[in-house]
Amino acid sequence: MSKVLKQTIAVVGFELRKFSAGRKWVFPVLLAAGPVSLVSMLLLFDSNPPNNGDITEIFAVMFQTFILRLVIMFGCALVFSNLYRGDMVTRTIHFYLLTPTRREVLVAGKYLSGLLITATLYGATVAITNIVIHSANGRAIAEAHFYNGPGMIELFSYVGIAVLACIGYGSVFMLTGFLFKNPAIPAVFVLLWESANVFLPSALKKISVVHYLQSITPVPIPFGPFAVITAPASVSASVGGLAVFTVVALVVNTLLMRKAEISYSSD
Amino acid sequence: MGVHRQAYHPYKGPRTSERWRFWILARYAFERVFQSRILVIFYVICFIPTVIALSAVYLSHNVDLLISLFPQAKPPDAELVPVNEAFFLLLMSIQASLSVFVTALVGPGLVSPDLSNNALPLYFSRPFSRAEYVLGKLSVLFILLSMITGAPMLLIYLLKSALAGSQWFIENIHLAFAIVAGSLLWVTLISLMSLASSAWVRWRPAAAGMLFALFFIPAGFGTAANEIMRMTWGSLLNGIVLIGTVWNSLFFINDPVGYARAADNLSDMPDSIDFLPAWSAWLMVAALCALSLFLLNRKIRAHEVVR
Amino acid sequence: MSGANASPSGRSHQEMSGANASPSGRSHQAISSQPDQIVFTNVSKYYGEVLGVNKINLKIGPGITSLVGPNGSGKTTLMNLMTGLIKSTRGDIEVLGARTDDPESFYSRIGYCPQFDTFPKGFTGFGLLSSLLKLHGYSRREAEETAWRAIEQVHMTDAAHRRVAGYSKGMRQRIKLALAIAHQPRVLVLDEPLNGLDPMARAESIGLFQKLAESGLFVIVSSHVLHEIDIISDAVVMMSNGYIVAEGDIQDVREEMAEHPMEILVRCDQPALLARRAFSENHVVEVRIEEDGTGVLVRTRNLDQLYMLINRVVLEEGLTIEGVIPVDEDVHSVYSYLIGSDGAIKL
Repeated sequence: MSKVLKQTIAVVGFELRKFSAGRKWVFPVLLAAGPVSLVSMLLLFDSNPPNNGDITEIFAVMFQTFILRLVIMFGCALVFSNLYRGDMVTRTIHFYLLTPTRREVLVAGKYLSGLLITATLYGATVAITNIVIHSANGRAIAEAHFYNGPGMIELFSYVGIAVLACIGYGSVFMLTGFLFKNPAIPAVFVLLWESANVFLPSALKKISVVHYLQSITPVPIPFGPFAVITAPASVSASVGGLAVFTVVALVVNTLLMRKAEISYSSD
Repeated sequence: MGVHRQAYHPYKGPRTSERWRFWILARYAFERVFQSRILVIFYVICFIPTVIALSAVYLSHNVDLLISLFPQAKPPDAELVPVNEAFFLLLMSIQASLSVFVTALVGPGLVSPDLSNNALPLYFSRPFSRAEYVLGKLSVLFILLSMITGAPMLLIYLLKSALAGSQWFIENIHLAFAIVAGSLLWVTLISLMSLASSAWVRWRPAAAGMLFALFFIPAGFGTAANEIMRMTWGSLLNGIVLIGTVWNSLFFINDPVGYARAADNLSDMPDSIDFLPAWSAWLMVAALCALSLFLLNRKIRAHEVVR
Repeated sequence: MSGANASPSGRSHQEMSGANASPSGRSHQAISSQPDQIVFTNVSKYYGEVLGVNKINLKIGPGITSLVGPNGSGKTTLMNLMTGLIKSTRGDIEVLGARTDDPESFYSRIGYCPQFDTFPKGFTGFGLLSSLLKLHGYSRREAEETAWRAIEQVHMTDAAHRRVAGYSKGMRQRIKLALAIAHQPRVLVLDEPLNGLDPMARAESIGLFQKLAESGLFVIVSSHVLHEIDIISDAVVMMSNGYIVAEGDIQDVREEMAEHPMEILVRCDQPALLARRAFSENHVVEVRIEEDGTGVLVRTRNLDQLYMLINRVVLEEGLTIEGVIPVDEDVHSVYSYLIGSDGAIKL
């Protein structure tokens, strides 16, 4: 195994260990548990659940309004902003900088660790939520939906979109964590921008992660009378655009990391 | 070593009374808070809605002045700005929204830096209790937020009373009570939540973000729960609906019809017969305050034991 | 000494302002790779308008070099510059031919034990060491073996599997030391490494530094404990207010300080006789007979002439000498002459 690969894996392992120690994992996991607990309530307490067609729409609304815009976005903000800024605040970034690790490796390793955490958590959340909500009407209907209906394709689409969201939001928040001493401010700005996306004119709509993700959801949802209708982006444009954006953000991150200096000032 | 001459003497001068010792923290915190230009500017902006409301109330009692300012306007048939429950509820909502931003600017800087810089042992190695520490920090937020929520509205109430006469004052005394109680409740809730989140998170920027997260995420969760389960209990997690319900119960304390109308406006599902019962909203507010105090009790300690 | 064109060992910098020439007396040249030295060429670091270090020209060789100076003199800044944690505002730094913009090469040669007393949460001492060694490219097994060896060197085997957050200050200091030496660097930079250590641990650590220096490492240590610096250092760099005030072997530095006469204590059987003879010499500034009557303290501007005087007195008068001891040829004395208790440079 090449040294670069070993070091990247070492960075990922170090970050995962830091994440699981202390309490950093609590809020991202609580966020992930949100949608699952919601649909579990439906399964456990609702003796007259909606029919399968309505359930598909309910999940589509829940995915786009709650999971994508709140759960995944906040979760990524928590995890990725902390990757660099957290180390500066806890005055531990020098442990990395004193190792013979190229800065590109450091940035890549940190990003990959964040992606692993968020994609696993929120990909699983989406999958479990989708399966549980479609099980509300009983096993037979659920199996028919998944094996004989569009359920499996929808499930993989939603999980794929969740992972893409983690990729896109991850690079945004890793960069804001590097650039801003207080990454909460850009995080709130991103939240408001993404939430208001449906009402923005077409040109501004395209400057967001959620527009591309919305474009490739299997079940579109109405956003009300004030929403501005824009032609959705194609799958290749969405995936390609997010990938290019992520690469650019990581390159910028690397350039900034090369010039990084230790200046542990008080908060 | 023998002591030949007792040259050292402890301090014998005046000391702050124990009752007001918490105020020392608050004094220094105020000094630091007002060093932020952004906060000062934003704080001034928070008074703009009040100034507009005051002007509107004054003009509605001085139609001649209004006509002289706007000669083309038709003299109003009824009161220009009816000062009633709906008026105060609207103003309280606006001021409460602004107070969230003030809290996000001020709150995290009160406790987080002390925790992250390990300053708590310095406080508690002196005759200063944890309760005094929390009270001192809380009083900063309490005063700042009261000045932009309850105080301006009481001023408007008094102005209206002065213009409309003592009869109006007596007939609408329940509004004053609702203003005071409602704003005290809101300020207490948001101050405690801000302090608790900054104590728990320790990192100041994260504490600021957490406050916003505490508003948006549970609200989203609650709305989704209401949709999925076709119920209203999810609104207990929606800060706007929660505090709105509490305020409605205060303002419409003798007016069930008015209460139902206001509650319907708040509900996710308008025109539904179901809306959040007031007792549940009160209980939830109490629970949130209790939880915040519990978290503060856990985190505000002189030292931390790591096993 | 003006212009400071003396040899690298044993010189005091008497001109504080203006560009000092390089230690070898030549004017500044473009930096060239010097694989056996740590070289600072005209290095300055400003934090906004606050001076960290100014126009540092320094070459450090193998052995133990101590950085000495009051708080705020720039020692930590110099160390952070040397280890690449901060970038210089001006000038160049090379460590054994490697530069900070090549981390792969640079950080495999250098180990740093900084002042920062913070650690990532949730790690044991052993866990932290082995994880960080993996960042050096070690395999899992190599990392664990190497980590354990370093832990043994700093005598932390008992506490290695406990969380670092539960360590005492001394234990945290030792773990930092282990982190610095684990990957067997050629340059070891230690910022106040003896802080918080009990006397036994201090002695063990000093022994370790000496052993490492004897094996060819460059060990750069900063400390405020001057008598320990005296014992362990091969060379001393004295700093004050961001400038280097003196550098080199402490005896040589002392000899250069002509404005401070040398103090020599001569233990002999006839102190009064020696004192009388010494008084008649022009180079002698002060003579004082010790209270116990067994020695004479002589302050002289010319040590060689004093030694010749002592020889003459021995031969002519039959004086019996028990000892000739330089009294102020140590770091503490040089420090107080050059820097003083208020931390200000004394010109």
